Amino acid sequence: MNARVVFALPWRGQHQQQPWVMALVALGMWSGAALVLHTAGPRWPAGWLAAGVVLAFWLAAMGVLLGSTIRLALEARRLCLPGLERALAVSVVLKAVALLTVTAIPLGILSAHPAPLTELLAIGLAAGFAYAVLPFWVVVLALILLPLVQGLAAALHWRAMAPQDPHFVVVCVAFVVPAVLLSAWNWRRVLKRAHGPIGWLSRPIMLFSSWTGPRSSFLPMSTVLSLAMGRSGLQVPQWLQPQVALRAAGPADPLRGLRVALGGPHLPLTRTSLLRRVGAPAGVIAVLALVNLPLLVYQGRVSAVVRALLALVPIFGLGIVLMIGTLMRATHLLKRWRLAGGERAVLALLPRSGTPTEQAARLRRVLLGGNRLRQWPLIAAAVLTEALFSHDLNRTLLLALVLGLAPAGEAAVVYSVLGRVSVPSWGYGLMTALGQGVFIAGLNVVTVPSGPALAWLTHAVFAGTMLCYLGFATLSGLGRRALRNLPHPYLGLS
Amino acid sequence: MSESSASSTPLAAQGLWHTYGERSALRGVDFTVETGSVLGLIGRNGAGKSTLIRALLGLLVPSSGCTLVLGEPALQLTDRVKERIAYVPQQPESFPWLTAVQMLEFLGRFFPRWDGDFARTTLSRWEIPAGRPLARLSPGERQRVELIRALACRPDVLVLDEPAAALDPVARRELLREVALRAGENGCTVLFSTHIVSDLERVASQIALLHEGRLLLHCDLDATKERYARLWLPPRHAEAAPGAALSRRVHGDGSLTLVVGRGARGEWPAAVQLDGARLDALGLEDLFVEIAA
Repeated sequence: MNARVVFALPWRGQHQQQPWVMALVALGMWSGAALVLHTAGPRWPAGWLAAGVVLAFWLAAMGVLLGSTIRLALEARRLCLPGLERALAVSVVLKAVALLTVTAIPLGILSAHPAPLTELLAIGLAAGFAYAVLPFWVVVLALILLPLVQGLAAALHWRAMAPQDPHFVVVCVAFVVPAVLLSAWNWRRVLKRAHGPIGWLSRPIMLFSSWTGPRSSFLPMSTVLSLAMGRSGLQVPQWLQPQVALRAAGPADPLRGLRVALGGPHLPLTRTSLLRRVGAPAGVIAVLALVNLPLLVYQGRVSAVVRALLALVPIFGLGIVLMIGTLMRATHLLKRWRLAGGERAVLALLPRSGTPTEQAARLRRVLLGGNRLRQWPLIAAAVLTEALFSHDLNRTLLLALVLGLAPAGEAAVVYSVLGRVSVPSWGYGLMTALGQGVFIAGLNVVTVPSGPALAWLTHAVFAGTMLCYLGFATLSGLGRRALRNLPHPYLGLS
Repeated sequence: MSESSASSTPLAAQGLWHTYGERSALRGVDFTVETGSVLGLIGRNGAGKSTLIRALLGLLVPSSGCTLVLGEPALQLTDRVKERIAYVPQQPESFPWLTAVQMLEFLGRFFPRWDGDFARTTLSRWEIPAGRPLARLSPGERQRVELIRALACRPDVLVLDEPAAALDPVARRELLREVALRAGENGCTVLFSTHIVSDLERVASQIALLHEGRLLLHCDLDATKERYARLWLPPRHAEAAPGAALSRRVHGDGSLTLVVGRGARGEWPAAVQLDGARLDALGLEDLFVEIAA
């Protein structure tokens, strides 16, 4: 294998269009960061930090992608392919170094703070890689402990946690070195167990969605979604398996019948099952609150911090829950509708399920009508919180617009799928990436303190939101029209 | 197709074309399945068998042509017809979130002729884990659950797309016995696609051979040996080879091997009589290989 092949290896485990999409997004982000650094000057002293943080998140995403090649390495070990594992490891290291260098050098030239910028980028890359490769429970524990450490640093007035501090390099080394070493250790540990079951204690998050094979998810979020959904419940512990409430589902109650048939997030569950499934995430939230709140109280700055948290946590939390729920349902529909041997064929030939017009109407009611309960209360709660805490009509309206992307995007996916509008996988990927980007940027804009420095970002979010609405409306319209002309709604995408 | 014959024909296709992008999967297929027959649809991978079956059942919109199920357009089936047909896809992947018992109970509510006892006893006889989600069953178990679903609604028309692909020999034998029983005792019409020629010989009354989207032969199984043979012609008679052959292979020395059929009056092509020509009878598997290779 020559150096070029080795370098390109991890991309061979990704979707074909992914490197190009990533390259485009990278170009956009680098240009944006360069623009910020060039124009920020004395009017926005923290501009370099904002650019650094954004690019660190970007490198974290790249780190996840590099880490996701553990699947490819695992397949190579299982198939006894000679040399591939070693080449992959070399390739990952080469790519990590190249990514860091290519990002840090131009930023360093443009900025007066090259060292902390490089440290931030290194932390982002290492965090992304560790997220993908470390055991899942370690990642969850780290996410729980992170605010604890931040709180502790604030309580002890330890300023080294801030990138502006000259001692930030210590934090960087203390994070990056153990993260990389532990990731390498778990990488080897997982590969050693390739021919047997990989236990929960060492299984990285990337291997929870093992049914997708060595190809990694289009976006890191997809992996989280896959984990949340489980492969039809395969990876979910027995006690969390959905218990279907089959009572009356059938011709007597066609909507309930359709929910059983569509499965996944639409499945009607028994009360016990519902309680268990809601109880688990509620427990995690309670643990997070219990870990963090006493520390905040100890800091003696309860009122200010709690006030900030009261606004930020619900808006961000509700927004993220809204986004994950939407993506989960859209992904589920796309996946099921692509299967030639799935329930679509059964539904198409099912007697006593209504005329094609009735079938299409019921599909719309189940797939979109249920969102009145799933999405609108979340949107209303987030917008109300923003209105109460910011007293800023523009920001509240922007939040409402951004959150409205979730139902609009879901409607676009549902209509395009049911109407068999030909959208390639990369098209959905690009739509999801743009939608997610605008959505998260929008949540940031309305939750961080506003100022002239953020005005450009607000305008960018508004423009991006409008662009997304335009795309979603076009897709929905095409799908609706096509659906009306189809002989029945179960023709599917294949 | 006349209206009266169409309404009594379980499955029919006329001038069926279908393309996936640039590739033609079906090229002008005309096809009928007679009432009470067990028709084995045979062809290589990618020959168009699954596409034909899905078009026949209205699960895809063909590029052109029409298909009828029990006299109704396949894309606009009414409940009257849906109650009488059952289909098992090549790779059953439906309802992975339900257990076998839940799926059968749920779907049974839609079919007025549902045979719950059959579903229960066959599940137990075929040793399918009743309480395990379908996602956790092996491909063979999953296929058997789908077969139970299809048989329990007591269909008049049963369409099986490679039903034996994931089954072990014992399960395959049981399936074929069940198919033969349904066809023999209940007059059920069966269309099944397969690669396994021995399965076809065991139960099929008719065969249809699909090759590169074209239906090359469609006749009674018993008649294939009588009607088709392999003709070898020496190089000097290559020019005299009959035009209407099912397959034609030219060898390195210029000699020809063709699969030929009898004419309307039962006669072989005139080339059979040529000096040095050789006519060999073909078994079903040889016939398939000769045509499809």
